[in-house]
Amino acid sequence: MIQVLLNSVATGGIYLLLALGLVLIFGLGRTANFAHGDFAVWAALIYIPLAGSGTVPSVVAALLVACLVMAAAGSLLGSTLFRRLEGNLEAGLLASLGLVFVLQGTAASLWGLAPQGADPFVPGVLELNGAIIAWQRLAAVAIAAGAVLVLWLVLNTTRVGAMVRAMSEDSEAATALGIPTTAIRIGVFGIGALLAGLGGVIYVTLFRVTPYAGEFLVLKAFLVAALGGASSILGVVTAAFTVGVAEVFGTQYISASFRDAYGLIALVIVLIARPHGIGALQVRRV
Amino acid sequence: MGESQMVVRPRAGTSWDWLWGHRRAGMVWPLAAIACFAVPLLVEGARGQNLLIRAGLLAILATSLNLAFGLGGRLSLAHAAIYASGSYAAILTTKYVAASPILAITAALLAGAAVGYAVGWLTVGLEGISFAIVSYAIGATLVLVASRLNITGGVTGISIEGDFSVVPLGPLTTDLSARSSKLVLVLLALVISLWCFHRIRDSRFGIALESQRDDPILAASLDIDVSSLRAHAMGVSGAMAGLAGALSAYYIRHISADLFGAGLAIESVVIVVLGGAGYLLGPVLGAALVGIGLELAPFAPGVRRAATGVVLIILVVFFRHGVAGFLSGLLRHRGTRPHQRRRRHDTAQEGPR
Repeated sequence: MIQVLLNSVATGGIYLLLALGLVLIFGLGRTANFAHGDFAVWAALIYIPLAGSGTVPSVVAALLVACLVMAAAGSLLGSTLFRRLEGNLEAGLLASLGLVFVLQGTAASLWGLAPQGADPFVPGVLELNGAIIAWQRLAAVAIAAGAVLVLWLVLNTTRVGAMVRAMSEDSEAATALGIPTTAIRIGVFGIGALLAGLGGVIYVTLFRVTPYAGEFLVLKAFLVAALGGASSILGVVTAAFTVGVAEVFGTQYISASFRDAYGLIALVIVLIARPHGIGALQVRRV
Repeated sequence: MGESQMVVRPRAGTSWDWLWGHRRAGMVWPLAAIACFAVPLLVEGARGQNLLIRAGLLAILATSLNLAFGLGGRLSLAHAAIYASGSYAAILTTKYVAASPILAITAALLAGAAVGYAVGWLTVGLEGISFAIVSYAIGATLVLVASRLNITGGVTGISIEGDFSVVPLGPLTTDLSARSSKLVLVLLALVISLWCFHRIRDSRFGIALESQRDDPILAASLDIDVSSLRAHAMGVSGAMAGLAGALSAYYIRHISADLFGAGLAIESVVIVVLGGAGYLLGPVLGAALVGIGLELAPFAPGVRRAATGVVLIILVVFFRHGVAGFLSGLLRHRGTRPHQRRRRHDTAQEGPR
């Protein structure tokens, strides 16, 4: 039982890390970035050869490089492509679908199609009353918790956070009030992509990825975002752990073949109960 | 959107006018159907026929998406999963029930419609990108589940063997295992799909669908039942996607879940947008360009995928109406019909009409 619980938390933590950046970008620019998972995969694939030897400095350097490259790419896209399509939500979504293909195709050309993995930051397992869990999974949860905490503090206690919240409420009014919307937009896209990169690197230390794995990662991230309503960090955290618990407990006590269906069942229940969506994903009532 | 008008359950006696609609198609459709039989005589090489079959299947899938997205404004990313349900239904009935193509195609139509309706019903209250996200979450999860089940053969997939494909139709008896008859079958199915799209678009159902796309609140205030309209659109569109899936299963004879991933969902969107969303022949043009043009280009698979993505981005940024929109812009002096009018968002960008 402890084992199952720990595993649920770890799974939820990984999903949370993947969903955070997506939700941040969605909340601000209302851009549904389908390429989010591919950012994560790119970060992972950049990380693997750099981390190579596995010594502490090389791992830290590789992690930094992978995340910063993604942050740069995210800001660049946020300030060019997605900025140009701002205001036309559907076009932004279509462009992100195009971006999925561009990132997948170039990743496949650069790194080949073979699944790749990386060594965990923290080797070994923790034994607790007969339950066994890899330290790396707990590290993933800790990093996710840290990211959530920092994000929450920045958004809710700082001036910049207030500006971001103001922009996601009403971008035009925020501009009129003198908020540097362009700079904030670039920053938020960069941080969203950075979080994707962080999630991708952590993911690849636990599982193997291929250049096409992004569609799986973004699926889980969107599932969490759709469940959590993509409006508040708390909702996303709850949703990530709901999916984690549903998947791990379902696998343990019902059937492993349907592992990915349990999160969907949760979403279906939410959709039946709230057909107009929840949080930022809801249809705007006029 | 007002919650009170947005009834989630359909009323009794929903508008099914599109089934009979008005008739003014002329001779184009029968001639197109006859022309399908001539295609294998014109294209004899195996490579050419394979390319045409693949492009034809993509065109049917894209026509189905064109119905949901082009007419209904529902950017569905669940269509790859619906297509998959048609494929699996066809193969499983062939394997476990009877080796009859007619039965298999019926099963695929039903499976596609069922999955389409299910997605449509669950998402009636969602619009725009919220719908796209949730439809992606549902569709991709279904495909993921299919990749872990025993009955679908998991990641290795399932195949059909044996002499299953002879259709006993008197003088028209055909052996569907021959490549050229598969080609004819796919092209015929494409013509039928296009005919359905055409009839639906000109029917009250299609006009209502377009009106809810452009302004759901106005549509609801005109006593159009927006919710059931959306569900029906996904159901009909799903049946069409299921048909494409069944034919693809007959064509490749071995299917596995990785065929139906986000790649297929995005490819069908690229085709619809490239051809021109809402235009009858848009998906055909798009499928020809993507399914034949990009295939013939000397690209490695990864580069081809990246090129497809670049095409989509360029289209979205610069040419929102696709090839069909561009062509019909040239022919605009011939007068526009209601369904050729541009969508609200688009007029802001290009300002046609």
